[in-house]
Amino acid sequence: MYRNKLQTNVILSATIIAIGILLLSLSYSDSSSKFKGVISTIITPLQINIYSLVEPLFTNEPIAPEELVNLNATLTAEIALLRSENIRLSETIYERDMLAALLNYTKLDNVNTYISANVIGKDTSSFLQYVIIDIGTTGGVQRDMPVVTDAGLVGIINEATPRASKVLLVNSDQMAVNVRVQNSRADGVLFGQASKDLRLRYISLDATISAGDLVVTSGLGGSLPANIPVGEIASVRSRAYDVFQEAEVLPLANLDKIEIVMIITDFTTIELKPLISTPIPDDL
Amino acid sequence: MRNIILGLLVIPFLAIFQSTLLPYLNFHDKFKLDLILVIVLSWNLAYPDSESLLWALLGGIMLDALSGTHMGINIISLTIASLIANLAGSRVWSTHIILRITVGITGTAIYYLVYFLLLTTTGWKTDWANIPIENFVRSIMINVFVIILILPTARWLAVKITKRSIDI
Repeated sequence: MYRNKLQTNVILSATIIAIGILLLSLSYSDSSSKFKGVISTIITPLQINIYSLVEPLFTNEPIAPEELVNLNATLTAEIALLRSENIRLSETIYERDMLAALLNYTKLDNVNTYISANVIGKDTSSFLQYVIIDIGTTGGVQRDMPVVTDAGLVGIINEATPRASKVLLVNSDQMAVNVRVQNSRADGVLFGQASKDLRLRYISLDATISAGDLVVTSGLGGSLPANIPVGEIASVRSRAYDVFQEAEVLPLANLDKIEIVMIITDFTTIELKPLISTPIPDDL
Repeated sequence: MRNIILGLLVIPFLAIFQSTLLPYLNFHDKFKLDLILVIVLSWNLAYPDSESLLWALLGGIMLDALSGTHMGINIISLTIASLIANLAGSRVWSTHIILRITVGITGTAIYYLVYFLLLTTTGWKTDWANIPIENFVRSIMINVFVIILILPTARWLAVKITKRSIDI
């Protein structure tokens, strides 16, 4: 009796595993993403409804009146400071445009088009850094589009179904972002870690970087627009016998508590592969 | 059949719960509960029927759909882990607490081992040296704790859905 049951269970398990392997091998083709899309279409409305039901439980408590007064004073002072800086920057832009016109130099301003989305879920695995947002291909979202918050870069769209999309977060160990340290103009690559930290690598030893420096996207590689703030350097590791400097970076966006994100929809990833694989002509 | 219907009713909601609500709970920063894994292991331990293995298929499909990994990875990992629980549940001493703890530990460990091996073979960059081991240990601890807690309810439910028959 037990032997028969064991046999049945093993056969059934083998069949399920075979289905899993089949789906896994199909995941490199369109059919698997269609299957995933169908499931996602079914569960997304359910997910949105459940999230909207419980969202009030997780939102922050209202701020006390005294705190609001203090916050108001701080923000008023900040507005005054930003106004004066705005005037100064407007003058700088005017001057830049004049000089650019004189030199016949054109450069597009970094003004992007955004669509906003709510975060309705996180990856079911504790070891992967993804969030699920409530907008998909029907809303104009496509794979590889950059995702930001008011604080800075959050990640990129990794998968888009008609009604929902998955965002690969910048602190995922699958992410590498070409960045620039704003003060020193030093280029480097920012890597996510399995521990969810950010590590800045390949910074030249000559570059002067220090804690508190702002890290922005460099636009190199063409996968992200330039000048999106990403993080702030927390500590620097620079040793004379190393080839490069390294730094720990704290993300500007709170990646553990993202509620609303914005997707940059007018940025097109530049495909560099054709350039890399250009064959050398025979006659050379 | 009742077993499959129950799975179809329970698993999708719990998968959404795992994706939507659990990450926002305070304890989840320190102790990440793999709810679907725990439910599938507990159910196979409580009701070691062949149909219970289909919970792993269903749970795997849901987890894969809500995760950034390739389709199939969670199906395979969950099935292997649940087969262990299913075989252990078929034994006479399946009610013993030591068995629940053992199934919780081995089930979670095997699930993660298969999961990461499949991730690596499908081209996922897994930094084995920097995988936070303490997260694994915490996951195993919370999973075992929840299995111990919910197993009596799972057993009660298993008795309720079992067709009563007398073999003569």
